Amino acid sequence: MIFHLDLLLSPRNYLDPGTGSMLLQVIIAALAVIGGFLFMIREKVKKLFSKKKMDEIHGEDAKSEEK
Amino acid sequence: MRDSGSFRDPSGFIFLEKNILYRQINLTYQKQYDHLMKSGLYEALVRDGIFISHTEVSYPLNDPAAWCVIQPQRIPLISYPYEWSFGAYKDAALATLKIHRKAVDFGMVLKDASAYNIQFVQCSPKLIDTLSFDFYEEGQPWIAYGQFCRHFLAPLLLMANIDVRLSQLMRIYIDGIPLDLASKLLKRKGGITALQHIHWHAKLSEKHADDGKKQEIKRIQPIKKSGFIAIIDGLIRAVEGIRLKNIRTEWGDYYSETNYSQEASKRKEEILASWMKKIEPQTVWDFGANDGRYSRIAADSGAQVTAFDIDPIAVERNYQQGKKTKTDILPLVLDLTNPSPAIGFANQERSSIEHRQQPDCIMALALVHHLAISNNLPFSMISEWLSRICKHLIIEFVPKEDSQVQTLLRTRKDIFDQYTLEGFKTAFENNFSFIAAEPITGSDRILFLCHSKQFIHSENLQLDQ
Repeated sequence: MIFHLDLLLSPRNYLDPGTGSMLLQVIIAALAVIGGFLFMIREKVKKLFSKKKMDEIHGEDAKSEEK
Repeated sequence: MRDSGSFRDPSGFIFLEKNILYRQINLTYQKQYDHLMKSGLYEALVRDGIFISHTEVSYPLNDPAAWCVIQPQRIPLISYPYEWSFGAYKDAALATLKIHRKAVDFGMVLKDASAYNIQFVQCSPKLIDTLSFDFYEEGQPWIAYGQFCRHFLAPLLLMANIDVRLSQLMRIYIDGIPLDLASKLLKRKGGITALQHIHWHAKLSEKHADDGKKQEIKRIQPIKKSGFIAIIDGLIRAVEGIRLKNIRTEWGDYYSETNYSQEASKRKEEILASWMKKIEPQTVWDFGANDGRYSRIAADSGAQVTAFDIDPIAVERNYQQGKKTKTDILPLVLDLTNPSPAIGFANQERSSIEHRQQPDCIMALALVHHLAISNNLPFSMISEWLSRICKHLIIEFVPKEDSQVQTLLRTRKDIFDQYTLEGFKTAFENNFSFIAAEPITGSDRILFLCHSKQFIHSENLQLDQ
């Protein structure tokens, strides 16, 4: 679906949004969605590893306490 | 009196009456204002500390366009982007994006993203424009995206990747750094953030610059809400990722390289504390504040302090320290030999630094030799200027024998015959009455406390709010 640019703009806007700025957002919206998804995965992996590391540390602590 | 910087947005304006600040909201903005207040967005943003509060007041409205009048929280000192340190600038950008992101959750957006809409209370950025919100409409791109890139992203990327002093470009370009200029200056630096939001942005803007001349109506793919939010989240991550490289400036290590003994520093602190108690200033400007060591003494006495320094790295350190300690200090970048002028339309939109506040006290510590010797400023001119802008002055005289002055003179001819204690006193006595003088034990320096003879209280300071 394609809209006329001027129909998308609210009559209340007092700034000139710039056609280039508007068109760019269409392109980068897709990139931003992918970027956000990759970021989420990276954070999850990071969390997983830090959890694993913490578990290992706690495990070692528990072992040394047992000794 | 209507504020001369409040004219762009037809939704309302700021005015001052009997030294109270008001904002008129026009009928055209009634629906948006009601939604802001009733949806819970206003409350959420004020609670997060990123939006100024206001109270609705009954005010006689003679203007047929007016809907209501509010009284916003006053900002201690209006500051401008070209006076912010890198960290302050980054925090201002993040505050703008976070407000925009939260607004979407409440069915609104930021309709503008001007850096001038952000002001600092201590080291905490706040949006001061209550009229910056509009309804979110599905499919519509962010109207203020271009403005955000010019006002925030371009200066931050230039400061981080090219030179921290490039924030000064904001002083020339009141509506933000043109993206084609930012793109040229950045060259290939700035990574994927610069590639998308600066380089592509500049190219696309250039390509479509003359679209207004064409008869055809531009067609555009609407942006889904998920994409709209992803752009904001991406911008937040991008701004968080912009970091200042570890650089060293001439003043950055001043306190570790100074000729001050511990005894002299301690004595200086004691004198300042006792004088602060004596004059009880509500507002203090610390000129040449460096990382704010002495500003903190003024703040501890209960004053609102603005700590100015020419060195952006020293100001950055002071800002980061202020964020941690939450002291009443706002660190700003200022070159005293070329202070922030009045800029914008008719030179009235953004006021000069001396027209924004009249401090009760100015501290000029270890500064006079830099002005007089490095910048050839006669004592009489320094004294005359200071006496016009403050009530009390605390100034440190640094004699020619001092090693710091000797360092300044080593590479140039000593043409400063008038640079003596007598010359200093004579010049300052013309504009000030000396209240006290204390030698700083452990150094050859002397601290003076004086009262201005020229100071006239003004109620017509520009608001810019």
